[in-house]
Amino acid sequence: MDDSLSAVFTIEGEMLCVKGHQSTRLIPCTLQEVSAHENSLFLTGKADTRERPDLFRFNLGPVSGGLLESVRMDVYTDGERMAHISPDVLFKNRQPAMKSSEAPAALLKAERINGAYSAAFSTAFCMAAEEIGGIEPPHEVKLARILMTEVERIANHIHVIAKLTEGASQNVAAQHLFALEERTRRIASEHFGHRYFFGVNGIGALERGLDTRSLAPKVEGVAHEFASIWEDLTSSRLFLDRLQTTCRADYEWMVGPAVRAADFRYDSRLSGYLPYSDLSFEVATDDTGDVLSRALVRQKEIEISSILVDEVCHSMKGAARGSSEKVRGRGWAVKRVETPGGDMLMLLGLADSIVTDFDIRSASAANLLAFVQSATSGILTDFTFGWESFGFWISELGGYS
Amino acid sequence: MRNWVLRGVKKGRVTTRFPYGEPESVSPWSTRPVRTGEGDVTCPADAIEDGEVRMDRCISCGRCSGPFSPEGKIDISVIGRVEKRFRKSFTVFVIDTGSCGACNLEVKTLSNPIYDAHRLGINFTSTPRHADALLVVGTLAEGMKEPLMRAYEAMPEPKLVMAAGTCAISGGILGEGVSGLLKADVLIPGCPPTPFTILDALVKAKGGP
Amino acid sequence: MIELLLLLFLLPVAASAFSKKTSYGLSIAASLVTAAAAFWSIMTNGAGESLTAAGSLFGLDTLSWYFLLVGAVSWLLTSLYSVAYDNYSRAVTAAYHMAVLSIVVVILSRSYLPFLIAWEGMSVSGYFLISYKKGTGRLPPYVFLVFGEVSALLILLMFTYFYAATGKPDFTAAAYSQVAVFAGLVGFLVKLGITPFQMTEWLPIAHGGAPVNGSVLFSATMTMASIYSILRILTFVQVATLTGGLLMAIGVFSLLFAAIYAASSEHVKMLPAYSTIENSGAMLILTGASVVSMNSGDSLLANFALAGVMVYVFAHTVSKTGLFLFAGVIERSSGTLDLNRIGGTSSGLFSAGGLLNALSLSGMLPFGGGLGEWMMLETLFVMVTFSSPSISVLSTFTGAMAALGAGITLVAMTKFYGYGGRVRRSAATPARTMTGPILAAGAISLLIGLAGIAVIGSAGGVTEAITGSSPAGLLTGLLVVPQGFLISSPGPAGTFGVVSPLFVAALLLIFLLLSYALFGRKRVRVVPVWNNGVAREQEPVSFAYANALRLTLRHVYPSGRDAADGGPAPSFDIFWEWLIGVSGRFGKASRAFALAFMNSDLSRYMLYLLIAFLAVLVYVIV
Repeated sequence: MDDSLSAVFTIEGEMLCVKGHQSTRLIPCTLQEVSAHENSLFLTGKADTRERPDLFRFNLGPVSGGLLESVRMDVYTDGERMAHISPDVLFKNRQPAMKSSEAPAALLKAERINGAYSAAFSTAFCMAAEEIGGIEPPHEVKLARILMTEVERIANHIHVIAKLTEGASQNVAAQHLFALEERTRRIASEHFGHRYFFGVNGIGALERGLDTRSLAPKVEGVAHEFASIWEDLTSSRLFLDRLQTTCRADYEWMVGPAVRAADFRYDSRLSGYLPYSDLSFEVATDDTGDVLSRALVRQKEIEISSILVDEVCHSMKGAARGSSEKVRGRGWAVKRVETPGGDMLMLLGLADSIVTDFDIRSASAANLLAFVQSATSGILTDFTFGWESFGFWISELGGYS
Repeated sequence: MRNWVLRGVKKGRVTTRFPYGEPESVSPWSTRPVRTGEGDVTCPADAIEDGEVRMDRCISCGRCSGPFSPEGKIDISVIGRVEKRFRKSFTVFVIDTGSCGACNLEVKTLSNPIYDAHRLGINFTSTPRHADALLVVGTLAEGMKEPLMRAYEAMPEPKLVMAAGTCAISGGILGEGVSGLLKADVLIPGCPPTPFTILDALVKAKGGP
Repeated sequence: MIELLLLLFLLPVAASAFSKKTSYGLSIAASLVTAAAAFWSIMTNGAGESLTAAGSLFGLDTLSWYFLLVGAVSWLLTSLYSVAYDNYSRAVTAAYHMAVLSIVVVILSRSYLPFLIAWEGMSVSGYFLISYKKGTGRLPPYVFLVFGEVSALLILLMFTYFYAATGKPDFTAAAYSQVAVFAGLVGFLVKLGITPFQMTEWLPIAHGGAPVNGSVLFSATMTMASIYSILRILTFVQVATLTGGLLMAIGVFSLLFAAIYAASSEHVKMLPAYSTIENSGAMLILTGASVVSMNSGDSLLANFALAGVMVYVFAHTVSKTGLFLFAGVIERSSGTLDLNRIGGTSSGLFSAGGLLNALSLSGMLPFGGGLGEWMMLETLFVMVTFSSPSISVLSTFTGAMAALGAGITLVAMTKFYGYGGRVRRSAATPARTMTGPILAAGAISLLIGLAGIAVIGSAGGVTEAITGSSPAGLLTGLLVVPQGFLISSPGPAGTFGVVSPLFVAALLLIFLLLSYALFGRKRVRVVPVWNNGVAREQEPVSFAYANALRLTLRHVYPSGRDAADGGPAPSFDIFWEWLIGVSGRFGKASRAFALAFMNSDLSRYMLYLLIAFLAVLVYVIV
């Protein structure tokens, strides 16, 4: 079992860390460990920008067409090979003011850190607040959280695979997939009132009443259509050729679909932060660690998630609407939630419902080094596949004030 | 390869009738909440003034549900300027100045076959050099001020500036909006604005479908 | 007239003992007089030949006049430039004028001995030009001298054989053994710096620290003298088809290799030096092709190929002069020879001068270099249609490799100009007397191309003297193209050709003016470069510019990325590496020998040998 450093948080000036792939325990750590960890996150300023006379350096971004978000990648190349990649992710760092806001208001900010993963982020925030306040949310709320995070996972996995397909110029298939992603967002809007689950989660309750009838068959329909598109897609040699052996990453310290694609059974859902053990949840893995493996893991997870949605819908009686409770008490809590991109750690400190500490170690932060290392020595056209296959979101990188 | 054509034929038309017909699906909490009942509400975004919701501040969180319910109308954008020269061909450059990613996804989704913005002469470009409009999403992060101004400078005249999403318009609850640097001609509210709202604003800004 | 010419070029040598400025002034005057006389002689269709004094030692025919004109243009520009540039010792100036005089004598010689003495004089003055500087290592001047001697020896062998065969001391037509002819030609090729003797070309320029007028001399006019000599041999020696084919093969090999090395060179002077080898290769291909065509009975194509040599040699000599003068300024103002660290220039006019010359050398139409390159490729193209399968195969391969080399040359020249000609406000402004000659060289290169039909027309006398048949039919007309404005390349499968660049340029100009009159000036708005939202901060590196080539051809370049620290070492000439290895061992052995038996300084001994050799030659003539 890998027990490398997975996050470093600062509480009242003291640096504490979380190790391993399941733990949420804060333990003291050495300065060396911390600085190595921070370097790997590319958050301590720009990485290695040495000039070598045989290399051209050019910048992709911060604002370029191929990337959905603003991020700068300095690519060093000697012709076609990428000799070195140096990312600068802090251009769009917003530094949201989390501290000293009330927990229910901070929840709204937390779910807007990464819009694509908002269900997972709000779930982590709520669970942390509940732990500090000693609140036990109703079972139905927990099930609703599973529903949201799994539908969100399906939408995001489809998005990632659509981007890969688009990168491989399989444009017909890509448009089918983008349309399918849109269909999933519409399902979310019909059943949760918002395409990105904003404003649904609450501390100890749900801010909105849910209607989960007819959700399961719709999600199953999406999964079914996805499976059929994927089957046709993988019969294309051209598509597989672009994905196979591209950007191989088999580091144990990665998270999410990336680490599972390298045949490690790491998934924070196994820790049971939500009642996954009552459901037929299984971890999808693949063994090669290349772009195709990561796509295959996502493809399997879409199927698994749709089964989970189906099971939850059958056991759920319809969740009642409540309102976020005031959180009494003072303390800190670290929560791990499996976002679509991978395991995310959130630290929350509350003092009588006022946020005192907030920080996250996102899946993108954990995997960025893996992308840089696996894409290096690949060719320039591999860039898109490497980047999209990890499913990065720049919005979840950066600091908080 | 085998049956993409067949699949397409079987699937039939998925493209929306909008703007010639009504939108097929509206995400309720991305539209304007209006008062439908009694009761006090505290808006976390301070968007409620005199019983009305100001859409430039509303973050579509739904905390006012109960006394308020969503109106369900997508044409909530403020079109400050219409540039009729762009009617037949309207090229938009999207810049993310610090968003959560949701607005980016909503803009991106306009290119898929369901919205198919291309049929209305709306195209997205990857360089401001070819752009007629600058579509800003997200709060104005410090690091993005320079790129934003560079993009604006690089655009040929005439040019429109559009702010999509509450973050870009006013900063919402997360920061400041784009107005500190550029005056937006078109404001597209919502958190995030639904694709139909964005499409509607784009069509109106270029002087009709 | 011959005596006058010799006197004119002797005066600067003498004057350099007293004043550098006076010597350059005299050189300018001599070049002007020579150029005017040559121009008059060529324009009047060989009136200058009547000026030839009786006697067998020297002579003046159209071939000589033509090369004198080409040389005089180069020397004129160089001398004008040197007035402001030359801050070296008077001995160096004297060596420079001595070398020019030697070249003039080579061109005027009609007899073996004066030719050889002048050839040797070229080597010796070259040796002094290189070795004057204190910092210069021992090896470069020696290597230059050794190759000079090898060249002289081979030519001496050929001439000795000629003399033995005919019993006459002057150039006489006879049936000679092809082995001797080929050996002599190799002598000229060594001096040309043809692959694998590339170092004879770049070594003196790159390592000698020779002043820039010396570089011009080595690269432009000494190359020209070698080409002249080969053509001179062709006027009285029957060369076999096989020898012609060999010339083509050697030429294309040099062209390709030199182009590759030029493209990857980071050295301000070595890059143009390699480009010279590339151009020599092209001229050799044309010469070889003319021999092959002549022997195959297509004397009109032979005329065409020779006309190509004439265009090439004129364009190359002039534009290479311009390019080296350009290199001299940027090298001096930035104090480095590393292309990547060259500071550029602040004068747009100066930069434009460099551009014109670089364009001509990269083979762009309507420049002279472009016309020459087209004529070379066209000749090979037509030769493919010859009935002999071996000639077809040879020309196909030669043509393909030459086209590839020509493409790579474009990389080399865009790199040279792109990094050397950057206009920056902070850089130094060159003197006007230095900018002028560079611009003039560029303008003349352009003129050679534009007035290509006139150059081809006036070269008719030369080509006819070699092929023995009339060049009539090379300049024709077709459809809307008026008579004389179509350069045709006749072959067995019909006539191909190109419309004269002058005609094309005139048409373009008319349309340009027409559209300007119709639409007027466009409104322009200048905005900063869009670099994905950030200021442009990357400096494209000249080393990386050619790196794709370096990676693809990593077996041609001995040093690759596996050098220390993962970074690459600059690649180097494999032939040179090999020679260093051999000469290192040889040097050790000979030094041991010298210490054991002569107990004196080796360099003095070498100098003594040279002077002795020259003295013996002079003695034999007298």
